[in-house]
Parts: sequence; structure tokens; C-alpha cells
Amino acid sequence: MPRFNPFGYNRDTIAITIPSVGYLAATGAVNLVLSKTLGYPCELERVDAVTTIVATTAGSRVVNVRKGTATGTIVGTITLALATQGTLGVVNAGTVTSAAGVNKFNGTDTLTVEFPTGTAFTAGGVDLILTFRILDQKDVV
Amino acid sequence: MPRFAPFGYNRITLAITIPGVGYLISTSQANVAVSKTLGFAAELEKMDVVTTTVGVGAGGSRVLNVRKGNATGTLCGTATIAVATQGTLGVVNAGTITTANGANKFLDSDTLTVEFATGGTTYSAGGLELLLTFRVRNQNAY
Repeated sequence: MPRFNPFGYNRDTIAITIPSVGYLAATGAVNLVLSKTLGYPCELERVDAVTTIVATTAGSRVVNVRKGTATGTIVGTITLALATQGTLGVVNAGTVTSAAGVNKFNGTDTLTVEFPTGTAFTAGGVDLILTFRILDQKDVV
Repeated sequence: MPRFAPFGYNRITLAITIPGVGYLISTSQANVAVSKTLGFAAELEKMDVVTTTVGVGAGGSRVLNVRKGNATGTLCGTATIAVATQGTLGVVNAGTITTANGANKFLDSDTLTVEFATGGTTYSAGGLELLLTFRVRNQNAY
């Protein structure tokens, strides 16, 4: 695990419940969060999807975490498939892109989470957990 | 943007899923979370409401309040949720934070309440994710 360091990083998680209707039980491109301003610098460190409602039928949906709008730079991605969404509580770890610092957000960058087109499940539910690491910062100056 | 500082602030995000039934599909006062003790000192910095189920219902509108204390405590954040602005999945609706007189500053013994005010116009469907961002200083365990 990361070692303790008084001048080191802290972590923050943003957990978002993804419903079936409109997302897993759909095929179209759709936004989960569009251009949310974080307001402070941080780095995306992990993307996890936890199954909260068992998925049915062999659907497949990709979840992209982007810096900017729905066409911004992909900083994290995860594929939701029947194999990983068929059992309650399963944690499906996604991939974070750290090359060239693309996973680093400054105070004015925005966060978007979106689903590109895919194959629909007939049901299912997921909690998406984004983990960010953050250095101590001054106030909102 | 905030500058880095070795003994400065950090952030935490508290996410709460708000279903339509009982909250948006209603005109009554309803608590989403009442008198939750945070247990550490924090300042409410941002309040964002994300549409996760499209809002339906002509004229649907509700006021969502964040309070320090119980359901009648000091107002420290508010957002008006309306079908007109909740008609598209993923839309982020920013609320307003009250900083006057330190209203947004929580001691470790303060409690947090999130509640829908009485009134407004009911939705027939809808769903939200509430994202509360707090800034926090490094603190001792106790």
C-alpha cells in the first residue's frame, strides 16, 4: 500500500449509482455526468464498477471517463459485460490512462462520464466508484 | 485554481442517490438524509445535482436544501431541480452555497441534513445523483 507521508497525497472517491433504464438497458450513447467542474486539481487513480443489480442477457456496455466534454480525452474506461455483472457485489476494475499525465485534472478541467453505443442488457445496476488522489491545497484562491 | 500547500485543504465528495418516488414525485417535505454526524471538520464547497433518470411531468420543480443541523437548521446549500433542466441524462445542475457567517463550515459535532422543501410541483418520474464536495484540513484522529 502507499506509505504514509505528511506531505503526500490524500484520496477522494466519487460514487455514482448507474440505473438500468437509460444506461445498461439501452444501446445508445448517453452521458452519466456531463462536464462537471471539479474545482481543484487531482488525478484519477482508479475506476471500479460494483454490481448492485444482477445483469441479464449478454449485453456489453463501455463506460468512459473523460477530461472535458463527451468527446474529451479518455482518462479511464471499463467494460461492463454479463460475465462480470452476473453476480452481486463483483468489483470490476477498469483501466486508467496515465500516459502524458492525461489523468491529471487542474482546477478548471471538467469531468465527464459517458457510455458510447453498445449492446443492451435487459436489466442491471452498477455503482461506479472513481478514486482520485489529491495533494493538499490552499483555499479557493 | 487552488494552489498546492503542504498543510492546506483536501477534498472529499459525498454522493447520494435520490430516487423519484418519495422525493421528486411529491410536493411534501422529505428528508434525504437527516442529522448525519460528519465527525470531522469540513466546509461545504460545491453542490451538484446530476440527472440519472430523465425528469418527466409538466412544470415539475422541487427545491433541494443542504442544512447544518436538522431539517430546520441553517441553510448552507440549495438547488432548484426542475423538469426543464433535468430533461437530459447526465446534465449537471450546480447549486448555490451560502458562505456568509461561516454557514457552510461544519464542526465535528455538527450534523448534515439534506431535505426537499415543502411545495413545488411534482414530477411524474425522475432520478438524481447529488454530489456534495467538502474541503477538509488534515486532522488528528481525535
